[in-house]
Amino acid sequence: VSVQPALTDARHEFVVPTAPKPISLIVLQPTSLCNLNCRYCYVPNRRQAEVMDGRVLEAAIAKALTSPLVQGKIEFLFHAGEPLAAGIDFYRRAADLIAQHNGRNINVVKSIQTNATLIDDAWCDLFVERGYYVGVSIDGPQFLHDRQRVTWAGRGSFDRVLRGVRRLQERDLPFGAICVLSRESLAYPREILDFFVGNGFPSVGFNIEEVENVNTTSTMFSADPKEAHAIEDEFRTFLSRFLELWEEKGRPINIREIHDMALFMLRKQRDPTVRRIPDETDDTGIVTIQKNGDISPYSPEFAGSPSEEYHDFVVGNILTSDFADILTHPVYMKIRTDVHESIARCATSCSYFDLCGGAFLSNKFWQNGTLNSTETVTCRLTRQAVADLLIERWNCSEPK
Amino acid sequence: MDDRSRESHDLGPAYMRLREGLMERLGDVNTQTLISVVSLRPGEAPRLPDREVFDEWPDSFSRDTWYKTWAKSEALMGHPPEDGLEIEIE
Repeated sequence: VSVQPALTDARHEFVVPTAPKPISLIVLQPTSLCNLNCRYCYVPNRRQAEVMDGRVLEAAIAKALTSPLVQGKIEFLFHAGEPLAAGIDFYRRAADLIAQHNGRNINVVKSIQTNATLIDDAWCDLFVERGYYVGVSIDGPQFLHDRQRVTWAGRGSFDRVLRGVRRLQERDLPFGAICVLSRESLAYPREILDFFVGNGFPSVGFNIEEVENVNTTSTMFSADPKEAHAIEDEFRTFLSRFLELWEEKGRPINIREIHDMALFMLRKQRDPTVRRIPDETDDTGIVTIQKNGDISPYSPEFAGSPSEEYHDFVVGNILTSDFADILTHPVYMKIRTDVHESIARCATSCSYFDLCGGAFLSNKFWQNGTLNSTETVTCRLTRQAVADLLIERWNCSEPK
Repeated sequence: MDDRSRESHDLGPAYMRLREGLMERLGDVNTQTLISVVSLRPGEAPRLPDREVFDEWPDSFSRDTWYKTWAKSEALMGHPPEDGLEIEIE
C-alpha cells in the first residue's frame, strides 16, 4: 500500500497530517427505504425496498476485521433510510458475521441510528442480546417534531417515536438522541429542554436542518445575506436562552454541542498546540458502504451524492476491493487532495479552527458548491456560535 | 492522545496568529466550569471537578463522532482509544 506524500501548500503553509490512522467508523447503509418522509431528509430513494445483499454485508465485515486499516477497535454504524426496515434477521446475521470474522479480537461497537417508530420488544431483545447501541432521531416536543418528521401520508410520527423510546427505557437500554433544529424550533428553547429532560433522555445532540443531496432547501439556510444574518441571530438567541435554562436547572442532561466544545476548550487551555481532528476529516477515519457495496470516504453524506467531479464519491466496491485499496484509488486521491486543501484554508482563515478542525465536508460541497472551500452555515452555527456563547458566558476575567 | 493533533513543525504565520487570538479568548474562560461540564454524568451523583476527573478524558480530544449519530459517544464511554495505533505502510 502506498500513500501520497504530504501536501505542502505554498500559499497556506499549513500542512495536514498524512500518517493514516485506523478507520474508526464504518457506516453501513443497509437500505435507503424509510417508513417516514421527513421534510428535510437528504437521503435519496427512500421508497426503494432493496436491502443490502448478504454478500455485501459479509464482505464489509470480514474485510474490515482483517484489514490493516482497522486496528484495536472499530464501530459499525447502521445508518441511512430507516435501518430497522432491513429487519431483525439482518442484524442477527451482522452480529454473527462479526463474531465469526473477529479473529483479531478487535473491540467492535455496533450501533444503529433509528427513527424509533419500529422499536418493539423483539427489537429490544436484539439490542440486548447482540449488543447494539441505539441513537434515536426525535425533534423535541410533538408540536415541533410532527411538523417535520412525518409519514408518507403526511401524518406526524411523534406518538410512534415516543412509544419506541419508552420501550428502550423500560428495558434500561442506553440511547442518545439527535434533534434537528429547524428555524421554527428556535423560538422554543424552554419547550425543547423541558421535553428532553421531562422524558428522561440522558443526552441529546442538536443538528441543524441542512441543504444536502435531495434536500435542496432549508429554513436554516438562505442565499440572501440579510436573511442569513437574521437566522444566525435567532440561532444564537436560542442557544443562549437554552444554555441559561440548562444551567438554571442544574445541567440535567448531557448536551453534545456544549459538552464537546467545553472539552475542546479545556484541552486547548491545557495545551495550546493541540487542535481538533474530527473523524470526518481524517483520511479513512470514516468509510461508508452503500447497500450495493459502493465505498465512499470522509463524510457519510457523500455516499449516494451525485458528482461528476468526484465520480459520485465512489472509491471502489467492497465486493471487489479491500479497504486498503481506497488509499490508491484515483477518485480517493482527488477527494483527499481537495479535503486537505480545504482544511488548510480553514486553518489559515478561521479563528475557530482549533476548536473545529475544518469539519462538515459534505456541507462545504453542498452549501458552497465545492469541496475545496471553507465556512458553511453549519460551522457558523454549530461551531462558531457555540464557542462564542461559552466564551462569553463562562468568562471569569475582571471587568475592564 | 493522537499526536497528530499536537503539531511541532511550522504551520505558517497566518495560522499561528489565529491560534494566538483564540488562546487569548480562551484564557478568560473559567476552567472549573469547563471541568464540571465535561465531567457531567446526568443521573449520577455529582463528581468533584478535580484534575483526576479531567484526566479520564484525555483521548477524547482528537476524536469526534460523526454528528448525525450519537450512538458512539455512549458506546465508547469507558473504552478509551488506544495510543500509538499508527498503520504500517509498506
